[in-house]
Parts: sequence; C-alpha cells; structure tokens
Amino acid sequence: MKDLFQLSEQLDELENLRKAVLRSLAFMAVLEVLAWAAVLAAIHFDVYLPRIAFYIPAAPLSMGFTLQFDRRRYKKKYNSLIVRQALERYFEIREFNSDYGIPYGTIKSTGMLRECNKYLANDYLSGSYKDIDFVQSDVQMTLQNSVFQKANVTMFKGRWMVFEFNKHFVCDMLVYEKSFRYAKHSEGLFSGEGRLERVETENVAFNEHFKVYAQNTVEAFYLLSPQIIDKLEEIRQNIRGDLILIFHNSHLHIGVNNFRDAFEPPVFSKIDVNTVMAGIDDDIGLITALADMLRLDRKVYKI
Amino acid sequence: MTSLFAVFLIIVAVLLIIAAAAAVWYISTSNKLKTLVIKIEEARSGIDIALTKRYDLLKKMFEITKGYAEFEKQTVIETIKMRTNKSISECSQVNSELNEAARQLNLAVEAYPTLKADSSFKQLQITVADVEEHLSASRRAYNSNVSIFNQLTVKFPSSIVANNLGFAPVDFFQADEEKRDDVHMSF
Repeated sequence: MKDLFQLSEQLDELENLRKAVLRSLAFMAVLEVLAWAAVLAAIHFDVYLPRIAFYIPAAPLSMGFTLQFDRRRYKKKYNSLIVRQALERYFEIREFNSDYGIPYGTIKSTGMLRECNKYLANDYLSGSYKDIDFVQSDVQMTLQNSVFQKANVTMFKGRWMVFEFNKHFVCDMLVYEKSFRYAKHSEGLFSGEGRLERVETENVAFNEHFKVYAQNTVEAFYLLSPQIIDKLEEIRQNIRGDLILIFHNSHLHIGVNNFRDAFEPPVFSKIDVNTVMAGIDDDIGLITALADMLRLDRKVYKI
Repeated sequence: MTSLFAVFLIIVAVLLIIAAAAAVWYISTSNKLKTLVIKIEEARSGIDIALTKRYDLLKKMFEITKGYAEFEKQTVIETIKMRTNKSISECSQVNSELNEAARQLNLAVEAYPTLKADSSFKQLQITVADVEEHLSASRRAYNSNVSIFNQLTVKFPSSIVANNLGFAPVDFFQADEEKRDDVHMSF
C-alpha cells in the first residue's frame, strides 16, 4: 500500500516535470512569435529600428537552455522510474545512463562505416540477456557541410548494438542492406591489405536485399549459415529502417538506421503507464528479437 | 586529300581505342578467372582439411564408444580410406561415408545414456559439430565460386577467354540432402 502510494507520488512528480517541459516549450514558442510580430510590425509601420532589433527574434532561443535543463531532468526521472524497471524485467543491467552513448571510437574502429564529423549518442545500456553480453545506445552520425559535402547529411540515426558473438572468428565481415549508402568496404581497382571481398550467398532473395563483404569467403559462409541468412531476411522484413551488421573483433555490431530515438519520454501527451510501457517493450524487443533470432545464446562452439 | 587523311586517322584512333578496351577486358576477365581458380582451390583445400578433422574426431569417438558398445561387424569408419589432397569427387565420396559413420555412431550412442553423459565424449561431439559447420562453410564457398567460374566459362564473351586459357567448367561438391543442414551431431 505504501509502495503504491510512493509510486503514485513519483508519477505525479514525473507528470509535473513533463508539464514543466511543455510550459518551457510553449513559452518559447509564444516569445518567438511575439518577437517576430514586433519586428514585422515595425517594418510595416516604417518605424526606425536599430540594427540590433533584428536580433530580437533570436532572444527566445536563449529559453532553449531552460528547455534543455527541464528536458534533461524529466528524462532522468523517466528513465529511473519507468525505463529502468522495464529493462530489469529482461536484462541484467550493468549500466544505464541517458547522458551518453557508445563512444564513437567503438564504431569507428570497425573501419566499415564512412567517418562522420558529428557524432551524438545517448541512452547507453550495458548488460546481458540470456548470458549474452551487450551494449547499446541511440546514435546519430552526421556528415557536416564541407568542401566535398554541400549540405549536412544524416548518415545514420537509430540504434547501435554490440553483442558478444557466439562463434570464434578472426576475419572482419560487413553485411548491410543495399539501401544504406554509408558503408565502407574499400572495394576499388587497387587491392590493399585487409581489403574486403564481395561475397554472394546461395540465397537469391538475401543477395537482392543485402551486400556482404568479407576478408575471407569461407569464414563469411561460416558466420552466415543458411539459418542466419533466413533470419536476417526475416528481420529485414519485420523492422523499419536499414540493417547493418559488422562482425569485428569477436563482436557483432548491429545498427538499425530507423531515424528514431528509443526510450524517449512523451512530452505532448499525459503519461499513461500502460502505453508508455508498451512503447518501451517495443524498444527492448528489438534487442531481444535480434539476439533470439540470431541465436546468440547458443555458445556451443566458443570453446 | 587532307580530309581523307584525317578520316583515316580517326578510323585508326577508333580502332586503337577498341583494341585497347578489348585488351583491358581480356586481361581483367583472365585475372578474374585465375582468381576464381585460386579461390576454388582454397575452398577445396578447406573441405579437405575439414573432412580430415571430421574423420579423426569420429575415429576418436568410435574408440570411446567401443568401451561401451560392442559392434557386431567392422565399423564404417574403419573402412574409410583417407588420403591427403583429395579431388572434389573423392571429397564427396568421403563425406558420404563419414555421414554414414556418424549415423552408425549416433545409433550406438542412443543406446548408452552413460556414454552420452561422458564429458570427453560430449566435448568431442561439440568439436565435431563445429568442424561440420566449417565443412558446410567450405562447401558453400566452393560451390559459390564454382558457380561464378562455370558461368564465366560458359557465357559469351567470357567463354572466349576461358577457352583460350584452357579453363573448363568444374564439378560442384555434391552433398547428401541431409548434410545440407549445419549441425548434424545430436547433443
């Protein structure tokens, strides 16, 4: 009874934090509209405006700091009160922190994605599922405006997961959906050391949707057993976004480029625990489904 | 006269470009075929190694099983003639015989639960399963390379290069229907 009362109190507190975020957001929007209206009215009525007045519409942006602060407070509370509870039902959690994510070095070290010049990550989760060690986070990689790049391009936005793989392997392999354009396999006219070779599997449907590059063809077939190939096809059909798999250094990296953030708290709607839990379960389901479908818990060969 | 000479020069230039493009294509196709031959040979060697490992492991398992079960006649494993550097048809033959041996072993193991629980035997079973996965991978890599190679040797115009280099279609590694599954050993 006491627990229920405490939970209800904490949910009220969470709801208040959500309202604070919403208030900051609304206040910022109103200020922005008023500032623009003032400037436009001055121009319309031919009122002399010093140059500095044109910076007035930017002033409400300073409210952004307050908004950020409120959002962060709300997210922290939401994660500790709701997300963590949900995660604990499935995983043995080692670390869960919404402030940071998987370091860029972990992804960069695979050498199988184009290098980005802006990297953002949050919702770091480290733990184990059915004795499979994993880390995951939300990741956003952007190619920013440069001499070669006319506009900012988001090359990846979604979930990045790193699982301990259940088979021993020494060579690197890259498997990605053909729609993803930022994979790097150094295929070219000049072969270099560690160059990845294109591998065509016996599964026509799989070859139609995925590209496979590996350092060693036999090992590629060892890792991509017919069962795994079928499962990857199944996963591709069931998830939204591009699927990228990198076998590197005894680990399997899985990227799901679905352009969405996981474990995000609702801002515009009232917190309904059942609805929110269903959403979190969906986000968790991506990790468990991948581990289950690829049978990563089957460690019979790692001896 | 000058214009005729210019036309002649253009024709010669076009012919030279066509000849150069043909030479580049010929060299790249021939390199592709030669690379495939090496890959096929590598995969065949992988099959050979995996078969030898599988044979050795099964032989060890039969030795352990003999301590528990009495085989009425000579075991299949004893009749298999293993030699190094087997051709692909010999590999297929040995593979079928090893499948038969594995079947005989599984039947014997089913009858002896104490043998099934034996830790060293269990470890051997796991190793055999892994070797079978390696064998399956080598077989699939071999057949994939053979498929690309055979298409190049048969299809026009790459068949011209293949014929000039004396390349002919290569046999696929034939596996029993049952062997197409990854893991064969029962745990």
